[in-house]
Amino acid sequence: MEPNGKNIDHAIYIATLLHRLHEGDPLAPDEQEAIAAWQAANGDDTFLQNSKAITDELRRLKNYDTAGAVKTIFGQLGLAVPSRVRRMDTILRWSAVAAMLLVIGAVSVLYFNRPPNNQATITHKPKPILPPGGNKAILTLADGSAIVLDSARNGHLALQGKTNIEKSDGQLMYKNAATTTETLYNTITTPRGGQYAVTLADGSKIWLNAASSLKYPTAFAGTTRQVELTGEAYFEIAADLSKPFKVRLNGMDVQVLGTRFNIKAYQDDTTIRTTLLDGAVKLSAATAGESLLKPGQQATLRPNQRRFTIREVNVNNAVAWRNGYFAFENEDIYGIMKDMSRWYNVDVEFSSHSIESKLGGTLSRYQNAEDVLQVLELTGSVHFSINKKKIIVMP
Amino acid sequence: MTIVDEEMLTRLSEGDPAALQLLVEAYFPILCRFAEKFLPDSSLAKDIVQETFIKVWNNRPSFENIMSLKGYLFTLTRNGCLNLIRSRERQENKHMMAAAGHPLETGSVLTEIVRSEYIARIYQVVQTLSPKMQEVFYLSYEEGMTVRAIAEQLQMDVKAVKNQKYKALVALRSKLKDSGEPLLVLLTFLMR
Repeated sequence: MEPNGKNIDHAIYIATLLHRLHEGDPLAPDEQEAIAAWQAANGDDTFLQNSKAITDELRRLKNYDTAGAVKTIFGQLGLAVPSRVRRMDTILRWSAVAAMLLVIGAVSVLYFNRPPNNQATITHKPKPILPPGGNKAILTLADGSAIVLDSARNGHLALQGKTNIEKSDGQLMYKNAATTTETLYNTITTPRGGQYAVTLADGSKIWLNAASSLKYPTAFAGTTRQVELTGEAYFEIAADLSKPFKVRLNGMDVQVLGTRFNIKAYQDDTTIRTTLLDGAVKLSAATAGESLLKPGQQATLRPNQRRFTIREVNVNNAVAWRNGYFAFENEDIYGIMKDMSRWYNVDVEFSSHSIESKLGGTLSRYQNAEDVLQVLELTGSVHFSINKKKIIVMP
Repeated sequence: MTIVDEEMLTRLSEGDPAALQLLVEAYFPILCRFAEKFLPDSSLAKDIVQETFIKVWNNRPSFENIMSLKGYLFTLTRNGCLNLIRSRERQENKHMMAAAGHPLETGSVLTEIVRSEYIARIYQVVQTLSPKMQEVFYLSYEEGMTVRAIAEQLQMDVKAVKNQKYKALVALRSKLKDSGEPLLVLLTFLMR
C-alpha cells in the first residue's frame, strides 16, 4: 500500500486527535476508536509523549527562515506580502493562548497531583526505551583501586606519584606537579553506552568511545610515550620529537609523531581501522609488516591478510562519533548495528543473515535509539523491532 | 485550536493572500523538517517546500476541508522530494544518503506525518506568544516545572510569572466565556 491522499488525510486526522487528547480535550467514542485502531496498526508512538524531544523539535523549527520563504513564495506568485494580518491574527492569538494554557494546565495537573518525591508517577513523560549513552567511565589507579567517573565530583580527583588528576564533565586531565622518574599506570575503561576524554601529562588528548579501554602512564619519564588501547579512540598527540608516541593494540602497533588520528580496534570486529587526519603514523603488525599512512588515508588490518589495505576516505566519518554523530558511507547494516549496540548498550539480533543493506548518512547519536532506527527504516531496505533491551533487525 | 483552521481555508479559497501567509508561517518549518527526512540537502528541501506552497495557491479552490489541505501539503512535499531523488539517480547513478534512493515504507511515512502535524499544531500556538511567554511554555511543557522554578530559571520574580499567566487568563475569561469546563478547571490550577 502506497501512502495516498486518503491515508495521508487520515494521518492528519489522527494527529489532530492525539493533540486534542494531549490537551485534555474529551474525545467522542468514535474518535477514541480511531486512535486505538491507528495504534494497533502503527504502534503507540512514544516520541509524542516525550516532551523533551518535542520541545527540542519546536526550538529547531524556529531556526528556519520562514520570513524569507514568505518573500520568495509571494515574489514568485507576483503577490505583495500583506503588511498585517490583523483581524484574524487577534482572534487566533487568543485561541492560541487558550490552547497553550490547556497544555500548561495538563502539565500542572500532573505536577500538583503527584505524590511528593515519587518520580515514577509522572506518567506524561515516559522514559525512552533506548536512551543514548553519555559520559561514563571507570578509572583504575596504579594501586588497583577504581573510581566511577560519572558519579565522582568535578575537581581534584587523585594524586598519582607527582601527578594530579583533575576531573571536569566527561574529561580527565593529568598535570605533573614536578618531574618524576617513576612510571605509574592508570587505565580508563568506558562501558557500553559510555565515552570519556583524557588529557595526558604531555598534553596529548584522547577521546575514548564506548566499550573501550586505554592504559597509559601518569607521567612520561622514559624516552618513549606508550599507551595501550582496546576498542575505539581518537588521538590528538602533542608533538615531541625526542619522545615518540606509540599505541599498542592487540596484534598491531602505531608509531606517532605529532598528529591526529582515529583507531577502531574492537576485539569483536576482527578488523583494525586506523584513520589519519593529519601528521604521519607508521603501522606495524607481525602479520602484515609495516605501512606508512598519509593524511586522508585509512588502513585496515584483517586477520587473514598479509598486508594493510589502504584507501582514501572521508576522515570526518571516522571521527564523527567524537562530534556526536553516527556517520556512515556505504556501510553494511552489521557494522552499523555494532556501533548502535555499543553506544546504546543494547543487544542486536538479526532475523536473517542475508540482509544486504548498505546505508549512508549522518545522524545525531544523542537521540534515542528508537529515533535513529526510525530514520534507517525510512530507507525501506531494513526494519527493526525493539524487545526490551534488544533490537531485532529484519529485512 | 490552531491557526490553520476552517476559516483560514475559506479565506484561502477566496484568494486572500493573508491566509497564504499564515499557512506558510505555520507550516514552512515543519515541512522542511519533513522533506529533510527524504533529502539530505536542506537547501533543496527548502526549494521543494516553497514550490509546494506555490502549487497550493494555484490550486486553492480545490480543497474540501482543512484536513485535505494539510494532507496535500505533505503529499506534495514528499512527491517533490522523491521526484528529485529519482531524477538525480538517473543523472548520477550514485548513492545518495540513507533516506534516499529507496522506495519509502508506507507506515514510516504516515507515522512521520502524524508526528509532523502534531508538532505543527503546538508550533502554531507557541509562535503567537511573546518571547517571555514562549520560555514559560517551554519550561512548563518540558519539565513540568512549578511557577517558582520557572521564575528562578528565567530570573523573574514569582509574582511576574504569575502575572504573565494572570493577564492572559483575565483576557481569556472575557473572550472565551463559552469555552466550557476544562478551562475553568484549569483556572483553579493556575491561580495557586
